[in-house]
Amino acid sequence: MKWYEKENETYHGIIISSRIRLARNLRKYNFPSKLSDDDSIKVIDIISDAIASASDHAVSLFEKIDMQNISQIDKIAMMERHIISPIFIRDKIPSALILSKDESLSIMINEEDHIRIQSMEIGMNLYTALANAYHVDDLLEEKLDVAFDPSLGYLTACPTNVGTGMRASYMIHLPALETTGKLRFLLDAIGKFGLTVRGMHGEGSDAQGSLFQISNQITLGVTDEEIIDNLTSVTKQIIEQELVVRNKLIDEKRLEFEDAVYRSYGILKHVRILPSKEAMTLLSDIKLGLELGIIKTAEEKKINIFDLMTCIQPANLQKLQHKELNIEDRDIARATFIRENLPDLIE
Amino acid sequence: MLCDHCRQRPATMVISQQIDGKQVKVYLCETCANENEAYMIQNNPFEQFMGGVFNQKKPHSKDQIKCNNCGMTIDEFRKNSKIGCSNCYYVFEGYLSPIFKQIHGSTRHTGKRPIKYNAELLKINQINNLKIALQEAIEVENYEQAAILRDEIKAVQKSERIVGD
Ligand SMILES: [Zn+2]
Ligand SMILES: [Zn+2]
Repeated sequence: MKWYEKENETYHGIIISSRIRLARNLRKYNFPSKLSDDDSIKVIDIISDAIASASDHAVSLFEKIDMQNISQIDKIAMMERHIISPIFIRDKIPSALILSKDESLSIMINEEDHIRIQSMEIGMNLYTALANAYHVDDLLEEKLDVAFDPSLGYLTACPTNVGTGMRASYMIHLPALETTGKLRFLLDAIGKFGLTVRGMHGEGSDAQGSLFQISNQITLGVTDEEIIDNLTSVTKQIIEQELVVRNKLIDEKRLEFEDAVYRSYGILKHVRILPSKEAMTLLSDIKLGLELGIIKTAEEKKINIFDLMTCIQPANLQKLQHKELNIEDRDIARATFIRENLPDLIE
Repeated sequence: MLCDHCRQRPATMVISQQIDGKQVKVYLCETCANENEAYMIQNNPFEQFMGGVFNQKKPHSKDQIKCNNCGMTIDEFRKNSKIGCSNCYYVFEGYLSPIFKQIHGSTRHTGKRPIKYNAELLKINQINNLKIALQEAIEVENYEQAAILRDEIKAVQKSERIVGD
């Protein structure tokens, strides 16, 4: 079972996932922007050997993927599943990915830094994600000469990561706040806490399906634990706000809201052509409707809307269909896929 | 809506860009749009923000320092805001320090350390403690004990240096 297929009950499903990313480099090699192809291959070998010979049996069995050997579609599909970053798709130098079976742990080799350890958990679980990332980090540090300075901390390719080299983030679903227009105001205030908010894939300000990623910006002069606690307390306040608006919707505009959810369900269940952005918005409505008990599916037919949202992304859709599709064909395939996978409702 | 760059003034213009086939919008105030043309050319809003920070100081061509390991120069760093190697951190220390302060509000790491460094720290503490004991032994003229302590200090100092060069 992949990490994102697990059931998510925390905070009414508002928190989709928790992610920890650690940036590390080898002291003796130039950072990727200055790394020759020959040295890039050496760096890949050194790091993957360290993993393969790890004392931890589970870690030693992680799969190694040579990024040069896989198709562009496979890479984008991995990005859509949040296994790799957008930067990693445009590989300029030889790079590799080391991946755990459930995809919750990954190591990008030669992304912006030599080592990017990523740990994902469902729901609000940053400390579990941190412990898992540390486990891999400690294994690597035991075998490798990692670029660390006692006063500056971990030396990273970008000065925004120096110190802990740690980026913690929550993926949150804020449909109610987004419709009220309060969101932008709230998100602007977040900068004061050394935090930042971005849309789904971490680029640009447009969020699809009301999915946002909130993460720390500061990495020097703070501990990983302080970063997580600060991020968590601000995120909890945002959740509070989202819940206030949700309750208001139910109390004051129940019929209109019910109508909107059923309308979205009707469209998803019947249309033949479905563009990505529209699908995301409609699925976001369904997710909210399910969480608020406006609509119900049979107990044995529980549906993971976030998983469905991932499956209908362009590259993942093409992988499911086992063929390349142009935009028009994708919109048709998407409509079909959702029709087939959206469970019936019970009254 | 606030400007994505300064986050202070209201945004008056929006710039649409194509990144990896995705349309990305950047909202800017007039001041920031005029001040930083590079902002619009590069494509990652966050890197552009960084670029903006670094571009504030005009380069002085005469004090063009270069990293003796990877060859990076200040100009190069200003352009792509990426550091070339761990040695750069020491070569450009004076230049980078204010940038760290500006981004993080700090210049000193307080978080996780590699276990090896903890061992190194332990060793330094151990030597310091032994030196204090040695001083005490000499003061009370316990030369036998002092000789033992001296040997112990040598042994600890000789034990393999684990970190760095
Ligand atoms: Zn501005
Ligand atoms: Zn350098």
